[in-house]
Amino acid sequence: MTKTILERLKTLLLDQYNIDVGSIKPEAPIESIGLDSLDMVDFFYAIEQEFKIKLPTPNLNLKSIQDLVDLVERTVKEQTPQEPLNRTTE
Amino acid sequence: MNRVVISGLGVVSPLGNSSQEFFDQLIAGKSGVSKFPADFAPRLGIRIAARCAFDAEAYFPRNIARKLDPVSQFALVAAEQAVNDAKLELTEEEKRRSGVYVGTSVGGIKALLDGHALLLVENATRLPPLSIPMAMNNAPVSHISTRFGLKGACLTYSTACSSSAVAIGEAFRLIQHGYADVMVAGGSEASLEYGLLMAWESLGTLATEASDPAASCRPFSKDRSGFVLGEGAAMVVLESRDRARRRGARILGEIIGYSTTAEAGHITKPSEAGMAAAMQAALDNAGIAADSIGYINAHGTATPINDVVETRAIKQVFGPKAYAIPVSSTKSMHGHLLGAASALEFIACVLSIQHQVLPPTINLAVPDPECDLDYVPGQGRKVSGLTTVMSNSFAFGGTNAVLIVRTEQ
Repeated sequence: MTKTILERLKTLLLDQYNIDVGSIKPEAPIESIGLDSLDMVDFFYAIEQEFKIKLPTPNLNLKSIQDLVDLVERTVKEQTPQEPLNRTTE
Repeated sequence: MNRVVISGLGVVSPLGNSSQEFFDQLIAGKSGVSKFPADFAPRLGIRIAARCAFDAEAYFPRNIARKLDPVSQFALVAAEQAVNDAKLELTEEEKRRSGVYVGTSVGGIKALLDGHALLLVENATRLPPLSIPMAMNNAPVSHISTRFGLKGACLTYSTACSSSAVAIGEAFRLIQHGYADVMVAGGSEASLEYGLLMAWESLGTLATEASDPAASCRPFSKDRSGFVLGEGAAMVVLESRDRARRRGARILGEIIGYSTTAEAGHITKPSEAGMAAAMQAALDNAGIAADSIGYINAHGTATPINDVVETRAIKQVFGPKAYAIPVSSTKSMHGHLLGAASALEFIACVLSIQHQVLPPTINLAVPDPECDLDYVPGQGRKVSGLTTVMSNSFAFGGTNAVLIVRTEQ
């Protein structure tokens, strides 16, 4: 199984910010992660590196963690080349 | 005017990451210069440097370390040592009258160069958002101020090789004139980066590499060829003598003189008159005669020009007595830490009085008729009755600074 986007975001938070959001609910407000505004900008950059995407800036209207997950999912779909059909892993 | 004493020392250096280890290595005549192991080293013409053995994760959690350029890491570790060494405890009211002055030549240059490399090498379309707060020259001051809650004057001085002498000297004056009671002051430099090393190399002031890297930097020796770049930080806690005495602090020495004068002559070339003026101004500021000085820690860069001109300037100020004053260049061992050099050398001066031992000039193998003073060659020298010491710093850009430290009496 590949990790879900939420899981990968949690791993990033733990690795780079030493923040364990545990079983945080996706509908929780984005502020509940506990990053200040500077760290949040840095976190978006870390997300871009992790998913090899470029997020739109400024990142407005992200209310919940689910909004962030959706944004990442949408951007990955838009910006990642289609994977070959004969992929055999998993 | 308040008298100003030194109550704490902190060192991150190519000769060890504590003031004690640093001084022990100095006295033993050990060199901190070695082959440079970086990936880019093969592309350098001169592949030696005086590096710190420094593992950031031994001092900071990983999530904090990654937000600090090495210049701030070094500065924070040295400041923490100095504050602990001074056993400093400040009330909220006292914190408002305490500050931080740090000298640095190029600040968080690694953060900037790393970002630039991403643009050039990886065609990055966005840079790490912390590039600016990591790279800015006042980051070390800001982190130290924040760490200890110091809310008085917090300033960064950038005057090349004299940056941290200026930081310490200006902090001394600030306390002297009653604007602050306690200051953390010193310097930090972390510029052993590809771009910087290449730039230094082409300037032609670096020591050519000897088969034994430790023998590359040879101040006052006829065969000298320049300095070896170093990195690290050195910080002191300064406080008013009244305050230090009141709290029963261990007093390591007193700053009695400081000067900063300008060459107003040439962007890199020092002059005998400029150096002599700086030394004389510090003596005048201290209100002492030249013959009170028992040891001079030279700027001693080991460039062909500096060492001759500094020797002449010392003779101009001290007259025939210059021959009786030991003068050494500790850069022969710890390298040239640029913005942190003066503070590190100042700490060597404080400890030389404390321990009554003079640090040597190493690699002085070939006498130069134009450098004919007592340079304490080879190994540390035990002395007695050493009370007053001068530390010279002469910078690119022409901002010279001299500090005089004395046993507190």
